[in-house]
This record gives sequence, C-alpha cells and structure tokens, in this order.
Amino acid sequence: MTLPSLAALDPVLQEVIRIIFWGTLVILFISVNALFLVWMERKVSARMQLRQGPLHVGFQGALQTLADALKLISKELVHPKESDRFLYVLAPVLVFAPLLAAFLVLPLGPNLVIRDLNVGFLFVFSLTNITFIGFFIAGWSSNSKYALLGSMRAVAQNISYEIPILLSTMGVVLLAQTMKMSGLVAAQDKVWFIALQPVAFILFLVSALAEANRAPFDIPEAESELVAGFHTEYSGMRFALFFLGEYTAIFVSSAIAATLFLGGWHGPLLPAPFWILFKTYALVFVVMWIRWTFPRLRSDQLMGFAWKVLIPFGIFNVFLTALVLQLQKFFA
Amino acid sequence: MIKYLTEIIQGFVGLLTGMSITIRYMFKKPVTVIYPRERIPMKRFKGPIAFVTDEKTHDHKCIACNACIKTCPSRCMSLVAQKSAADGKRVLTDFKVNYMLCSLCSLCIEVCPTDALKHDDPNYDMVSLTQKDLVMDLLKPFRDAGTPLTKIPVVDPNAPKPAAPAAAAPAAPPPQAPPA
Repeated sequence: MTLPSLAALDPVLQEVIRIIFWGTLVILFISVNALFLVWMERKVSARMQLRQGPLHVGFQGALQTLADALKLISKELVHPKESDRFLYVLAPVLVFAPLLAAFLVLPLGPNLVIRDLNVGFLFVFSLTNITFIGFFIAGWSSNSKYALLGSMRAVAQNISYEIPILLSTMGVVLLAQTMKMSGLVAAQDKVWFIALQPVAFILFLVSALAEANRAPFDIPEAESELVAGFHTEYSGMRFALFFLGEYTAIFVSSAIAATLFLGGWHGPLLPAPFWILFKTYALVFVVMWIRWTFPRLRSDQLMGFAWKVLIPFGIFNVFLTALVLQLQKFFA
Repeated sequence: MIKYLTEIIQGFVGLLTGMSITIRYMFKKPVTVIYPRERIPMKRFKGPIAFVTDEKTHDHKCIACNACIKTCPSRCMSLVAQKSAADGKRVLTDFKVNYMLCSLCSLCIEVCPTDALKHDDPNYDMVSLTQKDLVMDLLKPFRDAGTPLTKIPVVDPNAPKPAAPAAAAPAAPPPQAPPA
C-alpha cells in the first residue's frame, strides 16, 4: 500500500482504505481456504477409509464444496421457537469474526505482515477466545437442550485447554526473548524451535486441536450424543459461518504452530510465503490425519487429560527451559 | 510417578501406531468403484434367464418341449408354439419369462434337453418403473439381431384349411407372435 496517490490523502482515510483492502483480502482468503479445507478433509478421510471421496463436480470433486456452499446460501434461516433472536443472530458472527484478527499478525514473509504487534500471538489467543463466548451464546439462545449441553462442554473444554496452549508457547518465548511474530521467526533462522522444544510442540498441537473443537476432542459437537452440539438449531449461512469458523480456526492454529515451531517463512530456494503456507497446510493435514485416526474422548477423560497430563508437562517444560537458559547465561 | 509416566509413554506410542496405520491406508488403492461408470465383473452371478445362441445357425435351440415350464417352481415361464407345416414339428413362436416371479433356481436350465437356456450376463442394475417391463421376451434379442427365428414355415391355425400352406408360408418368414 505505497501508492503515491494514497500517501497524499488524509492519514485517517488512508487507514480506512488500508483496513478495507486487507479486510477484503483476508475474508476472500478465508472463504476460499475453508472451501479448500473442506474438500481436503473429505478427500483425506475418504482415502484413509479406502474410499474415493467427492469426484463428480469439478476436477476430483474440487468444486463439490462450492456447490454445497451454494446450497447452504439458498437454505431458509430458521429461528427456533422461543429462541433469543438477537443473541441467536449474533452468535455466528461472534464465532467467526475474531478469527480475522489472527491474520493481522500472521507473518507471510520478512516484511509481509499486516501489523507486527509487540504482543504477537498472544493477541491472537486473546481475541480468538471471544469465539467461545460465541459458542456459549449460540447454545444458550437456541433454546435447545442439545445446543446448551454442547456449548457448556465447549466452554469447559476451551477454558481448560487455554492453559496448556499458553504454557507450551512460553518455552518458545523464553528462547526467542520476544512475542513479536516476526521476531519469533527470525530467531529460528538457524534451528527450528521444534528441535529445541519438541514437548512444547506436541502440547501445542494437542491443545490447538481441543481449542478448534476437532476430533478427538470434538465432544462439544459429539454427533452420536448431541446431534450437532451448539449449532444444532442453526441452518443455512448461519450454520455455514460456524463451519467457516471451525476450518479457519484450524488454519489459524496451524499457521501459528508453523510460525512458532516450524521456522515460519524459513526454507530453501522458494519464496517465503510459499514456505509458511506449505508448513501450515502440512500441519492442517496432520490435524485431519489425527481426526480420522482416533475416536472421541469422553468428557471427563478430556478434562483429566488437560489437567493431569498437559498442564504438568507444560509447567515442567517452561521450568526446564528457563533453567537451561539461566545455566547457559551463568556459564557463558 | 513411574506408573504415570509409563502410561503416558505407552499411550503416546499407541497413538503413533494408530496414525501409522491410517497413513499406510491412505496410500492404498480405494476399494470402492464409481458405480455407474465402473462395475466389478461378477464371477458367480445368476443373471436373468436367456436363450443360448447356437454358434452355427445363430438361432436358439428351443424345441418347445415344455419341460422348463413344467419344472418351474414359481411358474414364471410361458411359451407358445405352433406346428410346422413342413415336418409337423413344434416351432417356438413366443417365450416369455416373468422376471418378477423368477427365483433364479436354475431348474429350467438343468431340465432343458437341448441346453437352450442359460443365465444371462450379470446384470445387477436391472431397474424398471412398471411391472410389465419385467416380463422378458426371450426371443427379442434374436428378433433384434434380425435372425430369422425359424426357417420352418408355420401353419397358421386360423388360416382356412383348404389354402395351400406351403405357398403361404414363404411369404411370411418371421413367425407372427400371437398376442400373449
């Protein structure tokens, strides 16, 4: 955005134009990305079950998700009886909108960041936590027992897993001595943090799965128990927003994991944006791989896993990293 | 403490084993076929009853002996035959199998003295909108192929007796099928 005509404008107007430009690009990317990820998920799941997946619409069924989206657009938006209208309409927006914030700090290359904030990924985590309020509002306003149970599970789960996900990133922050996304990537130009913090990487991946409500941690949506969880009563594009939100959340957590642990844009030969996207989609594949391998956890097992396994390991990892760094400083 | 750690390590190894299985399956060939476009050739499959085509004459081998009709447990077969004018043999003019009733028991095939019947090619996507479509005319493929169904002239039972049958017959080589 260094057009000469733009520089002559009023700074406030400049900012507005910048917001509209990047916002449009990000929303466009999110939509296309979600369509692609749904297709990818269907293909991956099909191949793992020795099926073929969608085949007929477009090349290898690539346009199938577009057709599904068109169908969803044409669906009626149903309001359940005695639902809280305002909150009911608000919830999908609350789930989807905060995820846009993640793209603000995501570094695609050395200078390809929309805003390189000092708080970095912490900003993403704090904003994406608004989605859980959205989940709860969705369940509460639907006036349906399945939706309410699903949303209560979602909130309980996300509060529990917020702790290990932040603990696992602390090790990385201690190593890089910064929370800036660009600083974190720059600190990995020699060795990726996955080599120095393997436990933290696994903790992050597991907690990110739970944060995104993905299998095997998808008890808020547990189809066999709760119909569809918090979005049971939603139809049409409102349901599609939840869906969009879920796949964007996967992409965002994979992108942050790629930035924090897999060296971000670093990679040989090819340009920086390719590498960060490649690593992100590789991690998205791992997430899908995990989903189609493991059965769903029981609600109490899920909580136990967070509090008894992930959090002790996370604290231990932070402690060990800090100790080693202090010893290095002491002996150096 | 040791129990806690061994449980976690064992669980982790178990998870990795599961993931290695799914990734191996991912690179296997899918077992499903795209059905309307691809079909699995069936080896042991009983298709609907059909006539065997004789390789020399390109005709069926039925002598209208009625053995199949007598043996059929579901009474789904029916044939119409007429006496030939030339040598007095019975000539088949119509053979119908009601596929709705047929239980594919193969008894008609076993009982046939000339081995004229067989199970047709595997046709496992036979669909019809009306019951009438499932009454199959076994002579239809021969008629469609243009094979003269029988060279033997047929006596028309309704024709007046004094008319010379030998003269009338060559004029109409395809046997007229009486309304079923």
